[in-house]
Amino acid sequence: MSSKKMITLKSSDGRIFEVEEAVAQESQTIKHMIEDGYGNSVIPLPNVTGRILYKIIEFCTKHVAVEEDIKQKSVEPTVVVEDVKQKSVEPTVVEDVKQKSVELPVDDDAWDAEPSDIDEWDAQFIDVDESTMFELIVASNYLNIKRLMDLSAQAIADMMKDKTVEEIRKIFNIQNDFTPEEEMKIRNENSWAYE
Amino acid sequence: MEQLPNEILEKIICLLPVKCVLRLRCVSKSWLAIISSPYFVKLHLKRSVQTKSNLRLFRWRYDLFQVDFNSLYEGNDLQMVKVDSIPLMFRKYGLVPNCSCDGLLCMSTICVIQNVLLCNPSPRRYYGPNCSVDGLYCMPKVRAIENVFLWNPSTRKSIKLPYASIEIANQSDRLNAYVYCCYRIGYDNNNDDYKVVRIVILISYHLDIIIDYEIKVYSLRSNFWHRPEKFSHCPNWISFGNIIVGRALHWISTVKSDLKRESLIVAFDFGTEKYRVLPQPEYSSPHFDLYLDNFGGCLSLSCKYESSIVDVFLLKEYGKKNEHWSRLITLSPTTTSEIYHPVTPIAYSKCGKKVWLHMGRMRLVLYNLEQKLVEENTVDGKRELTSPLHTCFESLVSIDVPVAPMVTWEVV
Repeated sequence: MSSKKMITLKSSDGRIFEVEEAVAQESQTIKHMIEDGYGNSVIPLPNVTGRILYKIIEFCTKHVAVEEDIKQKSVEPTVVVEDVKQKSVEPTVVEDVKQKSVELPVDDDAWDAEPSDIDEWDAQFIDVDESTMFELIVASNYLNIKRLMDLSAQAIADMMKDKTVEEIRKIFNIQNDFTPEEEMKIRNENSWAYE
Repeated sequence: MEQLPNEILEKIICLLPVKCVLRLRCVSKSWLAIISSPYFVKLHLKRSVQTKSNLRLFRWRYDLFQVDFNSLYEGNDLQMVKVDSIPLMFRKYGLVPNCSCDGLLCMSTICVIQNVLLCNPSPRRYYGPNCSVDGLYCMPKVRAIENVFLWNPSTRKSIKLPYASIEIANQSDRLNAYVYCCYRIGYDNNNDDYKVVRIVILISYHLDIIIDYEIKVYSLRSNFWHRPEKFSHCPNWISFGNIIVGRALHWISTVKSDLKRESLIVAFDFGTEKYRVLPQPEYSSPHFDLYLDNFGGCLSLSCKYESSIVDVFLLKEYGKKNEHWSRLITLSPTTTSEIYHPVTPIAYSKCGKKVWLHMGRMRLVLYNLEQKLVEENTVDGKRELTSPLHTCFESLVSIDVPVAPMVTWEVV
């Protein structure tokens, strides 16, 4: 394995993280900074705490690794599979590919389907308390990591679905600035939605 | 804990179903402002379309049901769920969905073809409010134009469209004819407006000759009907599908000359209100029956040849330079037992290798694109759907009108 370029990131609370360039570039914000020439020095991230940055790096590392596996597997799959189907020889080529990829299923459908193991991993990753979810979404928005933004937004939305208005206010730390009459009026406009 | 900034809140709330979003309106003033903004309504609709969190509606007997194709795994039955938010007055008038756009449904009566006796109004006699001015037929009460509503089943708001008389130039003193009426709703990108197109076709008594037609357009913003420029050839009323693609309404016009009968695919743009004739695909053989539909945003053309083979084409790169037709499927009587024309693709299966086909508005089947054959399927134990399917996305699109001569109805 050739040595990969490392990028140094510094969280708001002074913790230093060294990550591979490919992993750091999952964040469009950091990617632009690297392109602008800041890749050789420490990149400060004053909006992200060490605890959250650690998790984000974990997320990006995992997804970069999964993409690498897919790329390796998909380099010659169509040729390999068709050869195997038509000639029924050289099963070892398929075996080699099997060994390189880590967690992906081996049946034909796998060429087209998204590996569902990563969805499971994502689900476990985002299974955290609400305040961590909020920190993750704010950080992924600042760092511009679309996949993590979408994942955390969906997780928060799923959490909100069955909550009452009062519970929502509590979770999001929102002050109700409506008068009781105003609130009643708004509720009545869509009273069926509150059942 | 700090509050989330608005731009992040928008991204989260737009993932929620409409019922949930409406509840959140009373959380705080800033949340109400976010949810009510036109930008957010569009964002929510866009997500709804992207994630295909949509309802496929169809009518069965006197009720509306929704079918969610995306929760279906091959081999299972389709789940049909009754839509119970339909206002009672719709049932009273016998209204059914005619067409839909961005979560808005246009509702009108079931009976769309009606026998009428038309006459030239004499200037001395009073024929009542339906009477038109000189040179136009006096229209008796046409059921299909009486009670027309726009309804958003997600927000449960509806509005009645103002009455618009039919104005067709008379060609003879008395005429025994059929009046065919239909509505299509679309979005006008230029003015951020929703428009309802009404097409009224006058057909001869033996249902073989189209005498004339009228086209009128209703704009939600103005809450008013107007007459756009008219296309020189009448739409073919038999195959008038619900086809809105690329912000234009499509239909097939038949042009009859001495030597031949030609079909034109016509596009009426909701924004410019102008017409365009589309090129047609390479057909395998000359004689055919054509039917247009919308498949996932693409115009689909179902073509039946004299040999009873059916081809379904999709129009790719709509409106662009390399606009072209691509053949999706071919059904041949030798490989498929019952083929009912028109064949309309409804949705891809989860794996993308199969397509749900609606045949002749009666049969729903699953077609395997690789093996090129039809698989068996049951719909909740029934293999027939007796009415067209309407795609209706969940949306917050509002139907408030500036001047309110009509009352806004709400389901209690």
